[in-house]
Amino acid sequence: MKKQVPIFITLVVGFFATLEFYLPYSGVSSVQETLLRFGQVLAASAFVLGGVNVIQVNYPIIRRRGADWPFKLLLLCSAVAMGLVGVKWHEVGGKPANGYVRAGAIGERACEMPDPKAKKPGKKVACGYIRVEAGREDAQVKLDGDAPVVNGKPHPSAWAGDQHLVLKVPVGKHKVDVSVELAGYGKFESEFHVEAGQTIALNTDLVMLWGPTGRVYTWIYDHVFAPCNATMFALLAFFIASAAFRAFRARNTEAALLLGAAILIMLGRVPFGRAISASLPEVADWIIDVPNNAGRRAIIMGAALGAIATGLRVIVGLERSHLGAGE
Amino acid sequence: MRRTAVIIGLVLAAVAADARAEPLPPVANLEVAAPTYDSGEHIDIRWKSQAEGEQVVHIVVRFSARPPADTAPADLSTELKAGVKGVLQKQPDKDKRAPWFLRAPGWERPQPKTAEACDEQDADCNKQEREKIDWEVVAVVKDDTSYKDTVPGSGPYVYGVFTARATKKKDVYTNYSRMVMAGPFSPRTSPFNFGRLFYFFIIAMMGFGLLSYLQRAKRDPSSIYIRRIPGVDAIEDAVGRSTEMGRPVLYVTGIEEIQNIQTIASLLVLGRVAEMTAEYDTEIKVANFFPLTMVVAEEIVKQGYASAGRVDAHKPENVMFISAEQFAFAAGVNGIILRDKPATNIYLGRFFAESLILAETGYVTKAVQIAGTAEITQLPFFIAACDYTIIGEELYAVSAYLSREPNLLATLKATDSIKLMIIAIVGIGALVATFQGFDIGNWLIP
Repeated sequence: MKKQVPIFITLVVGFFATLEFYLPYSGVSSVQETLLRFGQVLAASAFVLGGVNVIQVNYPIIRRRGADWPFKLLLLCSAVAMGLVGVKWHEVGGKPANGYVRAGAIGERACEMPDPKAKKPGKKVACGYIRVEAGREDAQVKLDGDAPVVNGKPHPSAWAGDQHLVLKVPVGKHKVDVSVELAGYGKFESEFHVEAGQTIALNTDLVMLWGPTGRVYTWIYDHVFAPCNATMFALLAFFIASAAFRAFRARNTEAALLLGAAILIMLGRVPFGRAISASLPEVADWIIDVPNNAGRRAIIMGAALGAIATGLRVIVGLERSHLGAGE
Repeated sequence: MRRTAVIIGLVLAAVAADARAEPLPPVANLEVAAPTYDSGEHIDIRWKSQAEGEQVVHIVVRFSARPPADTAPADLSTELKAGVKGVLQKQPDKDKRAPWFLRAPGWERPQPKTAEACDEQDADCNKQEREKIDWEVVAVVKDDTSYKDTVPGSGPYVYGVFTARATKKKDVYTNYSRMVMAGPFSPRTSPFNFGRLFYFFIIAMMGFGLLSYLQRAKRDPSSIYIRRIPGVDAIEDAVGRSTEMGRPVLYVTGIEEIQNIQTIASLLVLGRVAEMTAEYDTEIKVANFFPLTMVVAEEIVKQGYASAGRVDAHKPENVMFISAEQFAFAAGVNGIILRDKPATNIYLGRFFAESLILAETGYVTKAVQIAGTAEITQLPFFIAACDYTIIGEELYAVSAYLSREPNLLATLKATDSIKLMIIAIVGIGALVATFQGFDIGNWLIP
């Protein structure tokens, strides 16, 4: 029974997956999509088991001070730390506001400015003020999607020396965004209507975020994980060199053929090869396009047929070794 | 002289102003059709653009047109005016008039019941009937002259395409052309995707071959002959070597998810290898890229030990989830290779750039290395760095080959018979293409 049920499920699901490829009926594909979603849920829940496995494998070694136990300890501590910084702590108890808007409380004064939409200079319109109190020097401000113009120049910073940034804007609806370039901080966005002579004050306090897009998580990712990843990838260059050195030793006829083809391809791909003979690049192209392509296609076709056969074996239940222990 | 310059300037300004307002040429050859072998949810729209320039876009509008009892060509203006304002609501004031494409010939709409009494300028006239025609802008297409629309119902639908010029602001367009329309069309549901008939034929032939070889295997199991695969034969020798050296066997299941057929093939082989290591009383360590693979691998290894009658020797902690990050996984497996120094490393499954990192590290520890993948880009690396490489289709044959079960071997024979058929098709195709110039591939798989 322990094997019959999985075999039946495999048969039904496999049959549906095959059917979906041939029947363009939307009902079939929607069932297939639902089944795939089941798979995704299973895969996601398996990550919990993965975490448990990491502890099961490493904790006993730490406890008995086995070989390289400090590394295991570092691994577990790092996993726990990343787990903790991956939680959106800033949202515990409600989403924090990144600032607030005060309208009309600052005091009103008459204001006029050149009409930015006017084709002819000289036309003036009534205006109001927007005062941005960003609270940090690296805050950037956008007025209606662009850097605001101060003294005739775009002024992207929300910090104006030791004073708050005050912008003169025409009467009407305006949108102000305040953000910082550093990843992992909140953004303040507000849209409001400015009346004539009115001052709108924006007090922003951009919250440091936690979680996968938070400051700490992104910092660790950018400054620890990404360089380590790049280092591992860079090792590949040296491994290719050492593997190529061994592979290109002409120990037998096949290896000699490989060496010959490799030399021709390498020469055909560099200017030096063309300097030796103009036909070398053509020879290199021919090797890649004809014998190499033929072999590649043969492998792909064979692999595709093998994949079909394996799929059939599993779907019809001929192959059962993946079903685990027990009858 | 000055007067002449002023006149020339005025003329140029007038020409420039006229050019700004000039409508773009409308699209030509508008073709609307339901795709072949479709699920009944799509309609293909193709056209030929007659306008040039980087900013040129084509706006596709879908109308729900109901076939009226009595239809007559009519001006679209009333129906579209509201729509155009909706579509181009952010357009600058000067372009709001957009009158050209409102004169769309060929459009048919339900004839008002009181057609004679209706004044074209009267928007409220026959309003109820007009409102039944729903419309929606389905796409703003740039750098392309076709669009596949996913329709909400069974239709019929009428499509209109017009050309416009994009401005710097999002969703703001100018220089609209006249709208060209086609329809009504309905999506079509096909009962079977005949474009994939050849694939179905291959699978059907495979099934037929499988049944026939299964019968043969039942009658005479010895009649199923499979050629030797040195890489697979080496697995048992390598496990024996590990036993002699008292070192573990490392098995890597690739870095693809469990639904990938190469991972499945790898897990099928794992069962046989685990059984072997259990019989030889050798430790096996299994490194997994995904937790779900790890869970299945653990069950398989347990099954292998159970099949060998040594369940007590199974250590669940030897089936490990390393990391779901490619190079972190490579670093983790390299750590196992360098610390535990396995005498045998088996890499079966789907690999990418980490293949050579793993294989070269294994080479440093003098382990016997057996690799197998159908990933064509990684095969050269494995061939260069490993002692044995199982190439492409051989990966899918390993499990059956190791089991020696006639039922499983029958599938290999079925595959071989299909391979023969494909060789014949390739040969015939080459001859036909050479002497007749006919592409048999496009005919079989349109």
